[in-house]
Amino acid sequence: MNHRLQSLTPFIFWFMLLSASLFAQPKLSFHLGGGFYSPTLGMLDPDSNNVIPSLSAFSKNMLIDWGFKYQFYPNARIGYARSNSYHSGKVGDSGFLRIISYRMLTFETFYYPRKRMELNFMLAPMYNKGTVKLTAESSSGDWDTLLGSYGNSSVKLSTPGEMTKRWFGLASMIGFRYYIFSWLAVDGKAGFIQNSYSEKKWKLEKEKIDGPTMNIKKLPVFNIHLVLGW
Amino acid sequence: MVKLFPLLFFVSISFGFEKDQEAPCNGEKIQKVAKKGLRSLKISEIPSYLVELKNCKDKAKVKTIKNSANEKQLEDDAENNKSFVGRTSGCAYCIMALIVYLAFV
Repeated sequence: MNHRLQSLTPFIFWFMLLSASLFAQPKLSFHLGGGFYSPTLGMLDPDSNNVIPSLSAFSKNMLIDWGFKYQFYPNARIGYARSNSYHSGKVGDSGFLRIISYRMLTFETFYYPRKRMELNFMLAPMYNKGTVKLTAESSSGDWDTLLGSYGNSSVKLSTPGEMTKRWFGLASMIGFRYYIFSWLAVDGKAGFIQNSYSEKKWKLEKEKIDGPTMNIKKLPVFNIHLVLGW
Repeated sequence: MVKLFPLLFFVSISFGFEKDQEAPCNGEKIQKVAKKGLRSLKISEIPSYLVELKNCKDKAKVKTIKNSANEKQLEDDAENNKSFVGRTSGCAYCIMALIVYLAFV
């Protein structure tokens, strides 16, 4: 009985959320856009670590942003937003992928100084995640023996592995939004991201290891978003 | 999450086919928007509103309806959010103070 109730809980949650969205006036908005920042990536930068593949300005300085917000009060919104930084390439014969994900629980207040124009002020606690992934291609003698018995030639197997690290942070930003239509706007923000990152205690297959020494304690950030909302 | 999209799509479509054949340029949802603004529509009512607009053959009138609905909503939003007092403004001042502190320290 208890197990059945547990399995029904996600269904009930999603049903209520969907019903509330459809039959209420939820004042939801979604945004998609990009950001610019200038982190010191330490040992994740090819200038300081020759193992790392070459880094473009996009991988170093650009963020890809998306998120959604809910207006719960006449001058206030809460929501979830994410800014991701990607870097991919090759380390030896293996595929390399680095993702730094700034994940924010946003709280924003705003007002309209004039028609179509909005000034907003955002504070967001963050729980960020760094991921470094290597995908190696290699052949396995045992697989080759087994496959050979069926008449196949040898195959290459890809073996992915990733190291991850999570840390807390705080984002504070001031923004200006211009409404092209009542349901479409362009939003620019400027502010700071503060991170409590330490290179200790990265995780690789449950092993605790040392990671790259990034200096991302205090980062100025500029964002521009396209906002769609009802 | 992704599995919910077909359900959302199906529900939206099923609500979307409630249409007023009698007076498509003066349908229930168009009247509601004209009186109370675009945001008075629930998400489930948006497809019906769009269908009513699509069924209106007078394209010049559709353009006028859309423009006036948009302008009315922008004016309402500006009016409703022009004052900035109390806790929301207090929160904004805190954020401004934090940014100024971070910029200079």
